Amino acid sequence: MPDSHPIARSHCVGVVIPARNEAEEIGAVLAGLGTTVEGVPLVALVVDDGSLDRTADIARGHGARVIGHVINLGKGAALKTGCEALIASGCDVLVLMDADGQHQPRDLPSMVRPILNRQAELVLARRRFGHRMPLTMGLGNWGLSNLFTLMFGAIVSDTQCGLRAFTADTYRLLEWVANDYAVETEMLVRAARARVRICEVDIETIYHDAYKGTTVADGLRILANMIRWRVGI
Amino acid sequence: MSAVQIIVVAFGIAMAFATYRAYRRRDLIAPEALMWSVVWLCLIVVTVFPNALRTVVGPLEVARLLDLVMIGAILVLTLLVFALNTRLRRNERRVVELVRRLAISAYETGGHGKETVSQVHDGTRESGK
Repeated sequence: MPDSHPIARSHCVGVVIPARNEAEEIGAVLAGLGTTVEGVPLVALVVDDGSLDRTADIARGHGARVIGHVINLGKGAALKTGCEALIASGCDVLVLMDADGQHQPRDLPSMVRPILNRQAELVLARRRFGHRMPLTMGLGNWGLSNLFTLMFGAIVSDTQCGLRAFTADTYRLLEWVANDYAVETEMLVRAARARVRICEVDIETIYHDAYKGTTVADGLRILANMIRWRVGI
Repeated sequence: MSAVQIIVVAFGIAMAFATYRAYRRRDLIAPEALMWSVVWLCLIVVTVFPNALRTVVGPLEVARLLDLVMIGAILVLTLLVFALNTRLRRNERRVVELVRRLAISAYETGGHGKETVSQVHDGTRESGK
C-alpha cells in the first residue's frame, strides 16, 4: 500500500517505453500495465522513435501517452526523451521497459519496490540465462557482464537487460550520451562511477522470433565503448 | 610526361572543375572554394614540375620525392577526417537535441505533459492507464 512506503505519498511512477515499428506488440505490452504499481499512480509513456507503422495510434488507443521523434534516433535517445518528458510532468520514479513484449508488466512491482523502500537507487532486471535465451545472446550477455565487472568493479549479472527502474534524482547521475544500444552499458558505467546503490531483480523474459534488439554487431560496438569508457576517452 | 602524371593532372583539373561547380551551386563558400582550388593547383604543379620539390627532400631527410608527397597527402587526409568527424558529431548532437525538443514541445502543447503529480493522484489526468 502507498503509505507503507516511506516516500510513496509524493510519487508518480513513469514507465518509458521506446518503440519503433512495434505495432504488433505494443498493444499487448500496454494492456498488461495497470493504473498503479505498488499503490502508486503509474503513467505509461511510449516514445515513438520514428515508426513507419501504427505504433503511435495503437499506443494512444490503449490509453498511453505518446511522444514522437520525427526521425529515428535510436533507443538511447528515445529513452532520454521519455525520461525528460516524464520528469517534467512530475514523475519521480522512472521505469524503462522494452516495447517488443520481452518484459512482463507483472515484474513492475518487484522493480519499483526497492526504490519506494529506499533500498536502492537503481534497480536492474536480471534475466535467466537458460534455454529460452538465444545462444549468441546468452554468450554475449555473459561475456559483457563479466567484462563489465572486471573493468568497472561493480558486480552486475546482466548488463544488457533493458528493464530498469530509478529515481528522477538518479537519472541526473546516469544521464547518458549514447543514442543507440550502448545506452544500457553507459548507464551502468555512470552508476558505478557515481556509486549509485544498485540492486538486481530476477525476471522472466520472452523472446519472440522476430527479435529486433541487440545484435552481434551491437555487442561488439558495446565492447568497444566499454574499453573507451574504461580508458576515459 | 609519364602516364601517371597525365592521370594525376587530369584528376586535378577535374576536381578543380568540380570545386568551381560546387561554388556556383553554393555548396561551398568562397574561402572553401579557394582553399580547394589551391590544393588542386598545387597537385597539378607538383605533378608537372616534380623537381620543384627536390630542394626540400634533402633537408627534410626524406628518401624520395614520392615519399614526401605521400607523407603530405596522409597528413592532409588525417586532418580532413578529423575535421569531418568533429563536424559530424556536432551536427549529430544538434539533430538529436532538435528532434528531442520538437518532441517534448509537441507533447507539452498537446496537453499531455503539463499535468502535475497531484492531478495524476486526483485521477484528473487526460490519459494514461
